[in-house]
Formats: sequence, structure tokens, C-alpha cells
Amino acid sequence: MNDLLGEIRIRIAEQCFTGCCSGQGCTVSLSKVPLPYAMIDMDCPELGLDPRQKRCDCIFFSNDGNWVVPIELKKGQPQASHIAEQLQASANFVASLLPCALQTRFIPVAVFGGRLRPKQRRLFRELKVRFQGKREIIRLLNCDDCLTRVLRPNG
Amino acid sequence: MLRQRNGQKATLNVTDVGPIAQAAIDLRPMTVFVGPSNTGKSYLAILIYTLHKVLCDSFDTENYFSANWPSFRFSRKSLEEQGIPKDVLREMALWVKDPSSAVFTENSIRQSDIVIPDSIAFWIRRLISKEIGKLDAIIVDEFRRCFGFDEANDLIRHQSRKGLTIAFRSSRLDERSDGLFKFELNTEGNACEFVFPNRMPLHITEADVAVLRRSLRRWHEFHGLEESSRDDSAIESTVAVRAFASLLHDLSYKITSRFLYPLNRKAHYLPADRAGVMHSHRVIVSSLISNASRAGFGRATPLPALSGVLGDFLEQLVSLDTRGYQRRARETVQSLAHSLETGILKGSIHQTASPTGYPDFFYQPNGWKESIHLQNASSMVSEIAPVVLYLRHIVKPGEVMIIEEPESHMHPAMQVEFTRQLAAAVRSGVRILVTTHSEWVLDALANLIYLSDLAPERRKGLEGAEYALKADEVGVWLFQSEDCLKGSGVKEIPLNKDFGTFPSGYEDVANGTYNEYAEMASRIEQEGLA
Repeated sequence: MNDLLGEIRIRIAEQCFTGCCSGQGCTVSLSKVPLPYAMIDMDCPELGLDPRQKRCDCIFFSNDGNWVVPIELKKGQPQASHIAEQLQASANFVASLLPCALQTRFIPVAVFGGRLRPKQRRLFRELKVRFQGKREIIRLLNCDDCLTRVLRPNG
Repeated sequence: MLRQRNGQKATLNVTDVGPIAQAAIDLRPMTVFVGPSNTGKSYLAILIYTLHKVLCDSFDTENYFSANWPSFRFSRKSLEEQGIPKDVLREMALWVKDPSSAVFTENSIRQSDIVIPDSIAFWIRRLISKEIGKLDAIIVDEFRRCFGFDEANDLIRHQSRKGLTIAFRSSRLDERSDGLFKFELNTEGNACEFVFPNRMPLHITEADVAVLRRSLRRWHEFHGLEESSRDDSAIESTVAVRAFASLLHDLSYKITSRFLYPLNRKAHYLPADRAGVMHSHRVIVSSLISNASRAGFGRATPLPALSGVLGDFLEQLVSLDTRGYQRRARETVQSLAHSLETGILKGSIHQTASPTGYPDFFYQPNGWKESIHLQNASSMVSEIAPVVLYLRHIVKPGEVMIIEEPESHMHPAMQVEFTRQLAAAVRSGVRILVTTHSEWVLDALANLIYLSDLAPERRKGLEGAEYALKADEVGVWLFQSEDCLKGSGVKEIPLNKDFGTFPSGYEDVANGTYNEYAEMASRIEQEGLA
């Protein structure tokens, strides 16, 4: 049986776990997310990441569904390619922690404090983040939206 | 702080109207209502139109306070009936005669304010409150007519316990307290009042001075009685009483005008589905005439009632008089009509009167020698045609155009262009109120506001450069159903300058469809890998 949270807790310092994902005046609602879950603050020094290294703001994990969800929060005008790089770097970080055999559902998420113009949204369609050999299109949410909006049961 | 003409702020509060539980909005030169269907956008737009109808047409302040109006026909007797004491007359006379008075000195009239002495202001307040208090029955009738309800109570929100309330406040930003127009309607009756806070100073502004000076010239006639003016008989003379009435009229008009602005300006309502109306107006009007002609010869065919806004719209269209066109064109904003024709319609709209006087509307595409009947033109042309006709023949600067869903039947590029034309109308002094479901209209509006952050010389080459709108000229209000209110609530959505967009709620829909696509793409890719 998969124990995603168990694997993560072994490898991540306890002080890097956080109860919410927020920053830049923006937050993601965790209402009704699958339990149990854990959230990692990617700015936590104990992660041992090079401060210059690209990364997203936080990563959500849940045992129910084996979700791995890197989340990037943006208050200002988004640069799709930059966000994709941040999410990709975080995906690589998680991939380096987890055993290859562990089955997960990976969803990269970008959260904005405003309304994207259609052209910006089209740019996101063209960008994908790789994880465990699969490519995923970045999902889009607005600040205060529930994360559950992008956590769909397996089809 | 958001400002209007002369630094005025006009706030409208309504509760329990149609689906709206609560709304507090500012009326700005460009006011936009957005939000899901059935949340009350059109209700509030029609309510605002109704208030304009009452406070401009039925309560024309200029005429209302005219010395010819019965309640203001001042004679010695009527002054006594009004209960205005002789002391006030005397004080009025001294106020305007005193060389050191603010009114009389050239220097002081350049100041922004002329404060009216308390004792005179007391009577002005009383007269205004009394006259506005008589409007309740007119408002109820207009509500029934404009909304097309059998009973005005049908306008009250179903879950309401207290009935509907309307409160309007138009004040200068430097005023601590201001006049409040209130109307209440419930199952037990209705009431209308105008509340002046106690001790609120009344003043006229520098801009009003020219009008006041005309009154003062009339007072100068009375001034000839200077030496004996302290004599009661002179103050109560016919000349003095008339002069007093005249000045009171001017002061009351100016003060009321400020407190009711902009609801005391003429408004024009262009309802949704204008294209349909333009295609079917002949049928509608001929049915009405046919029905009317049977009066007295048996039972008329029952026709569904037209709402007042639709009726007014039809009436304006069918009564367009082209004969006075040249004269009126100087007063209307016809250049805007021409811009719509060249920028969007790529052709011109014109109307001709049939032998019966009933108008026919035509569209002549650019380069064509002949015109086509409007019902044979595209829906977009029929949708825009009434806007063109209104701008050319009816709407004048200072008046209000309320347009429901201006985006109907328009390609997004045309929606953007039309929004720029609306901004041009605002620049020409026409106030605009629109209800919309269009992301394009909002984005174009956002750009026009964003543009105003650039110095005029740096706007060169940018679309709509000449129509930039300042943020305080635009109000975008989001209507949303609120569970806690058991009805709709209304809140302002300011422009998000980081994104250059209004957070209208459309992003939820756009993100939803985008994420749906992403999920499907993911599953299809997994199928390919399997």
C-alpha cells in the first residue's frame, strides 16, 4: 500500500510542514481537501535547497488519492514560462525524494490574484510540467479558490 | 475618494427590490453592472431610470420652484399661508442689500461658497422637504409603469419583512452632512421624504453665482427702496415679495438640483433585445393602435402590457421627428452617432416618415447606392441602430443613457470598439449606465482606465487614446446571490491594476473550462501511454 505522507515525513524536516499555502496576499482554500494531507513550505531553509534555485511556494500531499500538488501563488502579472519553470523545479525536487514505484497523481497549480486575459491562458495551455514520466498541464485557480476544484477523481 | 461633477458623490442605497436584498452604489459618469443572470442588474437599472423619470420629468426642479408654480406663487397672502414670518422677509432684504454681504461683493462671489443665513435656509429646507414629500404617489405609479407590474408591491423582494427602501444622497465631498432623499414602500403604504440634517449649512456654489446675480438684478429694483427698506410696509410691498419669491426660487432650485444630481437629469433607457424591437416595432404599434381603435365597440383584444421602459423606448423611436433635425443636432451628441456608423456599422442609419407619419428605418452600407430596410440588415446593425438614433436625435450632454447588454449580437472586436464609443460619450458629457455579461466590454473599459495613467503625450498610437477614463469616473458593480442575505448583494469591483482587468467572476468560468480541458488532455495522454 502507498504511504505517500509517510515517505514525505521521513525525508522532510518537521519545521517545513505548514497548515496552509499563502503568500503575496493570496491564499488557497484547503476546505474539503482529501485527508490526511500535508503541506510543505518550499521556502523553508531546512529543505536544504539552494536559495537561488527556482521553486514554487508550497506542495500539497494527500494519502487519499496520492496527490502531489505543487502550488505557485502570484499576485501580480504572471509570466507563464517562469511559473512553469518554478513548478518543474519543485516537481523535480519531489521526484528526487520519492521512490520510483510510488504511484501518485500529480497536478501542478498556479494561483492568481486577478483575471488572466485569454492570451495568457492560452500560453499556459502550451506549457506542461513533467513528473514520473508524465506531462501535466498547469491548472489555474484564483486566490481564495478551493484546491478541490482541480483535484478530480481518477478517470 | 471618488468624485463627480464639482466634487460631488452620488450614492444610491436600495434594499429588498426584486431579487436584490441590499445594494449601495455610487452613480458615476460610467456605471457598469455585471454578474450572473437573475441577480437584479436590470431591476436596479430600471429603478434608477424610474427615479430619473420622477425627479426630472415629474419633478422638474426648475419649474417646480418657479414663481408660477401654485405652491410657490408668492403673494403676501401665500407667504402668510406658508407661515413665513415678516422677520425672514426683513432678514432676506438686509442680507442681499448689505454691501458687506457675501452676495453683493465682487470679491466674495469668486469664493466657492456663499452660505445662506440660517433663518432663510430654514424656510428653503422646509419648502423643499414639503414639495418632495408629495412625490410618493408619483413614484409608486412610475414603478408600476416602468416595471410593468400591476401593483407596486410586486417590486418588493419576496422574503422581505420591512418592504423596499430607497435612499439617495448626492453631496459635495467637503460637506459633513447632506440631504437625503428617501422612499419606502411596504404592504401598509408608501412614504417619501427629503431629510436635511439639522444645522446643515446651505450654500450655493461659485458656478451658481451667475444665476443668482440675475435674481439680484431684480432685487436691485427693490434696492431703489433702500432708504425706506427697513420700513415693514416697504419690505412687504408687492415688489419686495416678488423679489423675495424670485430669489427663493433660484436658491431652492440650485440647492435641490445639487442634492438630487444626477437623478434630476433626463434619462433614456435602451432595453435588451433592441434588435428584436427594431424588427417588430410595426407589429407591436399596429396591434396597440388596432386595439385602441376598438374602444367603445366591444371588448378589446387583451394585449400583454409593455413595461414602461420598453414603451418609452418604442415611443421615442416612433416619434422621432426628422424635421427639427438640424436644430436639435446642434444640441445632441450627433458626432458620436457618426462615429458609431463609421467605426462599427460601416454604413449609415436613417429613417423616413411614411405617409401616416410612422417612421421606417434603413441601413445604407458604405459604398452602396441604395439602403436596405433595417429588418433585412444584420442583428448587430439592428442592435446598434437605436443607439445611433438616440445619440443623433435625442440624447444631450448631461443626460443619461442606460443601455442593457450593449454587447448583444456583436463580435468581440465590435464590443471593444463600442465600449470605446461609450467612453467617448462620457467624454462628451453623456452619463452612461450599462448592464453587461461581456468580458470584452470590461477588458476594454479596464484599458481605457489604464490609459489614463499615461500622460496624454504618451498615449499616441494607442487605441482609444482620446477617450481615456479616470478611475473615479467609472464604477463597476458586481451583483451576486448571497445565501446570508437570501437575495442578491452588490459590491464594487475595483480595477486590478496588476492584471489590468476587473475581477468580475468570469475568471471562475474561464478557469473552469480551462481546467476541464487540462484534465481531459491529461487523461488522453495517459491513454496514449498505456
